[in-house]
Amino acid sequence: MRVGVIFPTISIGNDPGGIRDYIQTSEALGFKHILVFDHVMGAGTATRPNWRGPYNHTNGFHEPMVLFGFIAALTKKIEMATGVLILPQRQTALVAKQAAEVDVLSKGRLRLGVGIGWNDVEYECLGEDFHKRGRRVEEQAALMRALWAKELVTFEGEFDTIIDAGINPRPGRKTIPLWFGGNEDAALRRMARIGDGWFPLFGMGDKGAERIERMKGYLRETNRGITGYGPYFGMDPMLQGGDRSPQEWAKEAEWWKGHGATHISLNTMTSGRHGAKAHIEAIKQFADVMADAL
Amino acid sequence: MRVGLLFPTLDMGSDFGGIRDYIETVEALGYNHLLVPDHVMGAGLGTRPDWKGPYNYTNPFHEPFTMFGYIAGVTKRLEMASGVLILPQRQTVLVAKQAAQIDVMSNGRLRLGVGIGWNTVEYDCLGKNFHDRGKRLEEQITLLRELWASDLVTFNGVYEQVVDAGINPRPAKNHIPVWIGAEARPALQRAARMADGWFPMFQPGEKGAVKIGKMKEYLRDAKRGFSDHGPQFGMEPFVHAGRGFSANIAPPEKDPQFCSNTNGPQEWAKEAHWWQDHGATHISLNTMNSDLHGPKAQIEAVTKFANAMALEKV
Repeated sequence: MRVGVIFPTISIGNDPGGIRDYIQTSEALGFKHILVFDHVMGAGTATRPNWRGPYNHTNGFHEPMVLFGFIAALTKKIEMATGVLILPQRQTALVAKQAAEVDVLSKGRLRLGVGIGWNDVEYECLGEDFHKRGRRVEEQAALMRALWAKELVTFEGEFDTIIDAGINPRPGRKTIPLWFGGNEDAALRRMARIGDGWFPLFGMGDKGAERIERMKGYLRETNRGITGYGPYFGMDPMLQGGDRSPQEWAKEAEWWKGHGATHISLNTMTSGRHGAKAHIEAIKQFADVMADAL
Repeated sequence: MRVGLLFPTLDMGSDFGGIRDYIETVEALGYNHLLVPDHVMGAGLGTRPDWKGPYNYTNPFHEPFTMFGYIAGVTKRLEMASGVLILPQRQTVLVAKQAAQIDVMSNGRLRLGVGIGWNTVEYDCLGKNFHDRGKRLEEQITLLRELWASDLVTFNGVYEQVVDAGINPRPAKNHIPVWIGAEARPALQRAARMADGWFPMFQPGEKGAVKIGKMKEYLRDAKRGFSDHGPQFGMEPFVHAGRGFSANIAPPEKDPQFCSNTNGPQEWAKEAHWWQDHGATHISLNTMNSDLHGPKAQIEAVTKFANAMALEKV
């Protein structure tokens, strides 16, 4: 199981020096990946008194594609993953282009996690249709893979049309792993069909175990010959740091390992940690209890 | 006059070991900035036998925003500029977000050069209208500036709608300079009206001097309170070491009275000084299409130019 960290985007602040320290410490501690959330726009709450979204305009989200360029410059080995990029609100060809560039400048260290999000405000600001996002994400995945694999692509889809054109440079490996986030059945079936892995959004326990089994069922139903989690389909759950002790984090990580997780990522963005130093402290504690895996 | 370079994206390959050496050398030699061009998609020629565009799918264009993240991590003081980003084919709000992120990661070292481009194929692939790109550019620049300046924006434009939403983080100075690449009269007038500077696309000489005079007129017409180049309005021309921006089109016509085609650093410097005398605030050397293949050959050339311009090493 590959152990990584979730970039504490909403509570690390805007000091590039601190962000640099956090990134370089993550690599030095032996973590295998840094996972970055994505939100392009934050909604104002004054005009939306009934706002129930998990985030609003006061939460800072560092933009993952630009941040990955920065991380690639400061590191040698650590993998960079989006978790997740809200794909249907972006232009497919531009995501393919920027992801390819990140892959090239990091020498193949990108894993692109995508999802459909929940925030219609962002979609509206970006001029994309919130209601067709599930259908669109599937088409986008196919188009991006074509753009990464071939110099020239012709693709006439419902949402995107490309006639005999391509991106250059392309990823050295001609593809980029495409993972999916999501909880709903439709999302689980989709990722079983077309994903390279998934990000479960629940914690350990019997209910979680049940969903993991359900996902295995969907994997078996596909024609991809995948029967569980492993080299061909990954599972990267989010370990909520919360107020729990590092020993409890390790205990949950063990549970996930027993249930087939190929990756795991610690989220330190809760329980009042502010600034790079506090987060560096937390991931050091995590590294201590996960020493065998790092 | 600030001296910089155009990142020779066509001649650099994709090995970021070599590209890193180039970036570090450029900063160490004392250059002020690195300008990165932008093309998202390249057109195939098999289905387009009459293609006359300067580029096609065989030309590699490193993507400027992700590269700026990288350059911010590698350098300490080098300014980064897009030259130019084809703004109307991208989503305004995402450009605002990514530009702000670069500005934050680099402590305010981004200058955003924008233009409308020429390639319908790219617009089609990106799902944006090619034909109203000039009008949209203006609205986009206005919206970009509002998103950089305020936590929350409400903007009801012809093309863009934002209702009580914003980007976070924003640039520390609440602002990123926006420059425009322009050739045609409407574009020049647009630049005079709303840009922080422009990239002239012509050569030194009497004809060039007339065009600079025209631009000064447009600046006066725009009543922006200044009539000349300088701190409030920048001018950044290119000195072409080789055949210009593209080997597929005719090389720039140089006026032998003011510059020569002998391709040496002394001649490049002579051209640069002509521009300086005519009000340029910045200048970039373009080393593409001059038979300099790979980072090593490029580093040699820009080292010679740094010497010819007597840049102070860092």
